[in-house]
Amino acid sequence: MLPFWAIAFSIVGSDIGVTDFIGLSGEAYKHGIVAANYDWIGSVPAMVLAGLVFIPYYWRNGVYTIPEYLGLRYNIYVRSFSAIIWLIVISLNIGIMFWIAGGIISGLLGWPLALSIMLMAIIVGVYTIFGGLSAVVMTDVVQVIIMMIGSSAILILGFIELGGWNNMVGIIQSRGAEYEHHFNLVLPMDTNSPYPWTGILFGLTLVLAPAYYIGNQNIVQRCLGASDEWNAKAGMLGGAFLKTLVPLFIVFPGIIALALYPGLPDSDRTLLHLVEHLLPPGITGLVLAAFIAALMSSIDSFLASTSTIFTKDLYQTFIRKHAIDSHYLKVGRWTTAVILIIGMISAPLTDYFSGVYTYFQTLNSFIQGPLLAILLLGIFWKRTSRPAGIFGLLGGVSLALLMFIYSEYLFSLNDPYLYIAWWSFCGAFVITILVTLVTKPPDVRSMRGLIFGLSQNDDELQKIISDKLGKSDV
Amino acid sequence: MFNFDWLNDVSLSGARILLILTFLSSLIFALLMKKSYIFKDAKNQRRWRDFRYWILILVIVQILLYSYF
Repeated sequence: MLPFWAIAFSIVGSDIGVTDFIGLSGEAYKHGIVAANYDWIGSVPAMVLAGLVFIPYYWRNGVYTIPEYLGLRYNIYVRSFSAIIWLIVISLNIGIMFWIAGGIISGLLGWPLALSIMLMAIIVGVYTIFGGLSAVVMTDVVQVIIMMIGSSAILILGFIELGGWNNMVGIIQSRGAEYEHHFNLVLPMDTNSPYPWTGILFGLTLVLAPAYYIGNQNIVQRCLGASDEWNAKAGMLGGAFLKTLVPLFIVFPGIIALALYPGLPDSDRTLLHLVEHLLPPGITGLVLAAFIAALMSSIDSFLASTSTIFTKDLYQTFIRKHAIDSHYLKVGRWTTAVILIIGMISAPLTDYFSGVYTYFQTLNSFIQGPLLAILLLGIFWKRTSRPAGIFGLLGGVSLALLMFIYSEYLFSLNDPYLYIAWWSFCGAFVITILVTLVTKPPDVRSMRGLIFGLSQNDDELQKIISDKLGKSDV
Repeated sequence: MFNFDWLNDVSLSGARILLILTFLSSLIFALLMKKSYIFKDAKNQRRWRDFRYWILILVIVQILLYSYF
């Protein structure tokens, strides 16, 4: 039972991983302060909405996981399909982390990149499959704190080196017209970056951010671990305060790097370049060790969740329902090995994108919009029929993939993932409504505790939940 | 259509106002909440625990950031 401040730190700790430190500082190096939109308008309004509406809703309806909710509200196919797409996305995310980790090891030791990635995969694979998760000593939170200390040191030393904020702005803007918007959060629609204001408003603020703070199991689960409803809401809103500070540690170092070291060939090495060249040797080693430990920790958490998703949502549901636990354990280990291999093979895909963060957000854009659409319609519209969920989800994800494949014909941006997120959300929303209108309405009695209006007005249900929460508090 | 061409006429200042309005709508939404909803099941109802004040501060900070940058 956690107090609100611990939940707030936990939300931010789980939200900002190495991909953010490396990827977002690289984005700030290339495109400027516009990258801070992810933590400001791309977080705060969605966190307010989640804290005031959705967390209390989840709380007062008993504890659901989001995939379980989708399975109960729609059908087993929605749950299974969302499990499959999460498996694919997480495997590719592991590939991104291998790419980053391989880059750090390769840069430090001078080994070939492919060898560094394979070495990383073997180490993580061996201790995850045979040693278990207890082999990880440092927690995510400790690693994030070390990385934040490193970033704070970069911030202070960087400003001292540059002679303050105004000098830094002057140095960057004197480099020419291409840097004129480097200190603007709002960019024109014809920008060369992936962040025109239309993408920030429609794709990030209205789709990706709510999908993350309302529909992401990792985030929601942290609030549901609160001691009471007030602490659950306060945890999310407290997290919004902390998110306001995050660009100081991630985005600003990227801008400092541009002023100090212009012309870096690979923007994803921005933060590592700063760590190596600006920090004293002792701190450099500590921060790089924290980076590698955090990457390994993120990879093994991802591996654990993929093995659970495959075993519970797919294998146990469709292949072998009633087996002994040791059988499922063995299946989980094989799943881990397969996902590791997919991650290792897919790691070089990262190089086809303009940066790790672009790849990471492109993957998100394929699924977050459609999932948000069916989640919102499922919660707020009691008429939404059970078959409509799978059509909406399949249709939205297919639309996102098609838009990505034909992006050069459809979009004026080089990396249009914010636009893809918005349009795939709209597509899934419309498809779900259309299918609902031509299919049989669901039996409202079977929707108890699943629809917002119905459950808030269901006194009997509220009493059952209050009793349950009261007992669990004791 | 996919590139939001119909918004071409909106200036950058107009776009900035739209983004600030997003924050303001979060604030208005919060201010419309009843105190009983904010403090549902909470035994301690001191003023600093009222989320409406939290969100007011949060939104003011964000509006300042989006006005400056």
